[in-house]
Amino acid sequence: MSFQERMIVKNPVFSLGLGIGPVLALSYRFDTAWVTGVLSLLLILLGKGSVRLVKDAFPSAILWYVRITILTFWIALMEIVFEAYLPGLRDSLGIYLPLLAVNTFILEAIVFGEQGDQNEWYGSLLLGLAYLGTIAFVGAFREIVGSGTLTFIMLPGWTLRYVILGKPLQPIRFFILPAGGLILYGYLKAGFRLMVIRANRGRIEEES
Amino acid sequence: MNRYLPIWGKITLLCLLSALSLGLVHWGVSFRIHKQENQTFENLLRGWKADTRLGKNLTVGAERVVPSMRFVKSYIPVRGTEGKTELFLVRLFPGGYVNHYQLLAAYTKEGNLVGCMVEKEIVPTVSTYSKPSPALLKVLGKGRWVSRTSGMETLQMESLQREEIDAISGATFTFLSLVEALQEGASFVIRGGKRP
Repeated sequence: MSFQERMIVKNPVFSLGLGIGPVLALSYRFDTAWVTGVLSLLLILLGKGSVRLVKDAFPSAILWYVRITILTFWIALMEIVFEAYLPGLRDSLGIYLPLLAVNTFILEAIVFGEQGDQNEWYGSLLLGLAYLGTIAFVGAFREIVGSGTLTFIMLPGWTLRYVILGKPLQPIRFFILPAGGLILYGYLKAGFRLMVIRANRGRIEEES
Repeated sequence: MNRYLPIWGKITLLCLLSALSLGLVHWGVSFRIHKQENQTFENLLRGWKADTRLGKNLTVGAERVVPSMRFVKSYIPVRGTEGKTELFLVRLFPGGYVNHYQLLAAYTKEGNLVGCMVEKEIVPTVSTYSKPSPALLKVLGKGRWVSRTSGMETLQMESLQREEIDAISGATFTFLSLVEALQEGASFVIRGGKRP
């Protein structure tokens, strides 16, 4: 599977409907959006690597329980470190930080279901990158349109933020609210669907 | 390994190892978490005295849980140099329409509000994006609204007018429950940290 196919045809958020919660709740600002994407990618890879280490000790029937235990361990570890060093970011992510464990678990299950044990690292990396790209895109769009700014990073006492929409343009605040996120999700889903239909139609015409 | 340990034993071992590792990491960074908490308390208490320094002119006591009160969940006494309780830090859970959040309010022992902040929230964006409405500005006496994210005071509060019910940011952060919680906190402190 190519990156393009994973990003458009089998996009985890818009085509498969996975991980919608964090996408809607945390994409109100670009920095929280890309951090969530990076954490998801990191969790997918850490979870996969850790499961590989203990894989032989457990029968395959209970490997999913082991997988969720390991993912929750990693997320709890991240939570402690964030609490100590990045409390602002921890607050921004809120309840969605621990929920990323479940999110990653489901994303992993999809890769496993699609490919079995074939190219599992590549499949996971692709999925994590597609999720990161999607949430970062939605985050950038919502923040630019909703707040008129683009926040790259927010650390205690230091923020990197660009003002994109100045006067006379006014940001549409609705887009940073959950309802705005949901409506944007609907339009993007429809757009992705249209792209897939057009791509399929073109392919069928070429074949015939 | 399969010869010596059954499956349930291996899972138990995995959980134990995870818990031990998390405990060690928490122990390693606990000084930092403690420092962050002290910084939060100092930001809040600067509404009382601008030169407040915890550990120098004030000492924070242990947190005490308050059972069976509607909003007040726990309090922390803050003692002066003579060992007398000067201030109270009170943790309040006002609840809300869809969002649950935790307030941290600082009161003098007479029940005057010194500062107030949203300490934790289940759903983010409430304290990050919400600014107190003009009606809320009149609520908290001379207390200050402190933002945890920026660590700075954002707005000054004026006199209390409870009947002006409003919302800070839609229905997620209800004004009435916030005011009631702060009032319950004040009456709790006036009684010297005792339930009615």
